[in-house]
Amino acid sequence: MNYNNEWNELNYKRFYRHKDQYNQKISIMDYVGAENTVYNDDITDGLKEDIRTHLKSFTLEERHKVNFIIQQGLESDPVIINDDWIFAILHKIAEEVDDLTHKQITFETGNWNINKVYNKWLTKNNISEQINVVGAFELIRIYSPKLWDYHNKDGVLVDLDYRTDFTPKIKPYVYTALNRAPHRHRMELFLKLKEFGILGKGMVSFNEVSTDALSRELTQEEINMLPITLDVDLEKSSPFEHIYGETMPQAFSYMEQKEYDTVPNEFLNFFENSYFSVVTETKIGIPSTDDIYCDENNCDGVVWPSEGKFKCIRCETQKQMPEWTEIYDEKFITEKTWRNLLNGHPMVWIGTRHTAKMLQHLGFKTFNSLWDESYDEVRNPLDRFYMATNIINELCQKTDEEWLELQEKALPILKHNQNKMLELEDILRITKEDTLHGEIKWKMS
Amino acid sequence: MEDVLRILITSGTNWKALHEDITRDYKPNIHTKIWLDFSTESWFSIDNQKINETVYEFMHNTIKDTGLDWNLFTFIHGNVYTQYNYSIWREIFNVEEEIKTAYYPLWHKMTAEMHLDFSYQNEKNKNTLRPYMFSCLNGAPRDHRVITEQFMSEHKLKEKSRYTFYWKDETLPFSEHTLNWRKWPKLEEFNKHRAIDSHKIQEPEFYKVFDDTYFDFITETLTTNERFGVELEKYVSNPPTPEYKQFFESFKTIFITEKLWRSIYYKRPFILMGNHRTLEYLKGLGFKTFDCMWNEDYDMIFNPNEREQACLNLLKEVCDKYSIESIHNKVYSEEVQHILEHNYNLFKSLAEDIEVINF
Repeated sequence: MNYNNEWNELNYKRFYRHKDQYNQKISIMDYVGAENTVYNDDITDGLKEDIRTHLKSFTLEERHKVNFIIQQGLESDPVIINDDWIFAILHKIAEEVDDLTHKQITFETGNWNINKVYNKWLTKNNISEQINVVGAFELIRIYSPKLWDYHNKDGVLVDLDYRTDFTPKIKPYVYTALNRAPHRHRMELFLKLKEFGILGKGMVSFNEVSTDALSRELTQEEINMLPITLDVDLEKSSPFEHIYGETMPQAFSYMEQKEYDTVPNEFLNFFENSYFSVVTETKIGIPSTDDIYCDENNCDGVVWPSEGKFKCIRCETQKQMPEWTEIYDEKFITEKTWRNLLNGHPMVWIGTRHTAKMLQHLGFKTFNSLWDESYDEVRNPLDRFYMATNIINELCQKTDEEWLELQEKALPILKHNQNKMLELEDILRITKEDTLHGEIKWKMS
Repeated sequence: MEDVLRILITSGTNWKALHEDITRDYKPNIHTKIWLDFSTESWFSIDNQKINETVYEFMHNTIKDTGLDWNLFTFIHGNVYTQYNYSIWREIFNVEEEIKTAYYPLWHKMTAEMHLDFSYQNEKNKNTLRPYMFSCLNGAPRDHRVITEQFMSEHKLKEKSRYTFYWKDETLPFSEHTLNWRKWPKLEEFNKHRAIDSHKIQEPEFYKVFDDTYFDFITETLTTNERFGVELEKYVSNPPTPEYKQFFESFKTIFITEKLWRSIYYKRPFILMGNHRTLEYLKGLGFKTFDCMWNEDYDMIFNPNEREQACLNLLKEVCDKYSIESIHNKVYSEEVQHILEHNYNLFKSLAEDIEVINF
């Protein structure tokens, strides 16, 4: 029951607010700008004033019901302001605005392990009052038909096409690996697939190119092999316009330019013609900021916490890192995963640690009954990457018969996952109640 | 509202038998809701009947004793912060059950519906200088009223006011006819302040107070504060458990009675010896207050004793600053008249917003 937060039958009727108005959603992008960065300007004054103004629009007795949900939107990056986590300014605002308590503020981010970070931050700063922090799987909306509220050019609600026939069959390719933004782990994947000699066994794209991978720089010969374009004609459109304009218009505002009443399934070809997807998630657990790169002898490797010290994963030189990184922990699952769950396509993840474990916690089934998923437990991102790519390599050696058998075994998993995606009526969230001292209280299927 | 069983609770209710009243009157085939209506007051606890429980605790225990479904019940209180206090109480005492709670602005509705509209006095007397500066009407001898009487005596402010302090036999100069009226029902020493019945039109002499003065010094009903001594001992100095102390210190009160609404209805400026932030609350409802006449910072003073003293100091300042002529001119300035008119209109229109529940 939560009667009293939205009920005021006997008071002055003109001051009655709809229950939604008690939950004020604030996009942090409106304060820090649309460009996603870790370091941000101090937004305390502007944010505090807007919170105060909204709160004061309620009469005194209603103010305790008002909640402010500060949303990081679709990202999982740390929000660092004045060299500290955003929690510091949210606490400051809770303390300085009259009639506002800590529990009325919620920070919602795509990082599903944010409660762990927050718990450490509280401990480190010896703070007992708590705001709410939530890891929100906001991007699941893009592939959850019941959560859709996308309209086309004519204002008509648009449907989503997805794959329903999972009948086992022999397929021309083993895997699909689609890559746009040239993050280092994606360039590392290119190197690894090339090293294993399995580039030709997959439906593979690397639409944009960077010269740096995780373990080393690409050679000129390797750079010359790129880009590999499979799903996009670079002469007609940029990779960005292709992915967000054509294949996934629901992700941004492109839908309002479309005339169709059902978003066609541009990925069907890949699902039908390969056995599984290598999902190169947006993040692998390394912060997207320049000061994580090693500057020892032009090394430029990524510095990673190891045994309480920060060491370059290329040259192993120790580096002094900003204080906020001591409690950094970023876990992110994006539409790249949700798309496959809706369309019934098995996955190996190049992503953040415990992606498979979290999906199981959320009620999905993963693929540990089909192949080894222990890579999901490995803490070091490069080691985890190597284990995952070894699995990909092993899977590429399987025969057609073995794949028919694996597909048969995968069927109940795929159907379960698809059903769950079809039935979702709200986005999934990880709140404090899912954690104990910041650690997830894992529920395993 | 035929489906509502309204159990009216007042300070005189036999609280210990409340659950029996409910079960006796509740008809399951008729009633879908039970309102426990204590909107006449804003108490923190019930100590006048030696019940050692906070008001919410008592309500929950009463509901438990009825054995009826929790979903039927709504507890209605006269404290603006009713829902806030209830949420804090449930949180502090880790209470799982939840009923609906509501603040009902009973005294606003009551004043609008049952009191004489004396606002015409403002226009009627605009060309007449009045003999006194302010009114100060006091019935029951609560702490803040006692110190008001002492302060007014000490600073000779009674000379500048129409006032009553019933416990000191300082009443209005009643006529013989009205005096008889006041003697019914029989008034004794212990209950003579009850001669003031706020629920109905007052006797004619009462209105003379407003004819003779320019503004009201209101000693509002300070439920939690005036019982502060008792409750401080019971819930802060020697709390049954630490949670009681925590709840007492978290409890908020704004209680507005006919004393304040009457000033607004009658188009009168006022200084309010009331709860913390009452003026701010009024402004939130859209009313204007009188910072164009005097400093209203007292409203933001958290400590009740300091706030009361600030009100009294302000009263003296105002009486020192203004002469009868200058306060007359100020009250009839365009600025103040605009406020009085605005407040009067808002008072009436807001009263129409309030659902009628049988008084």
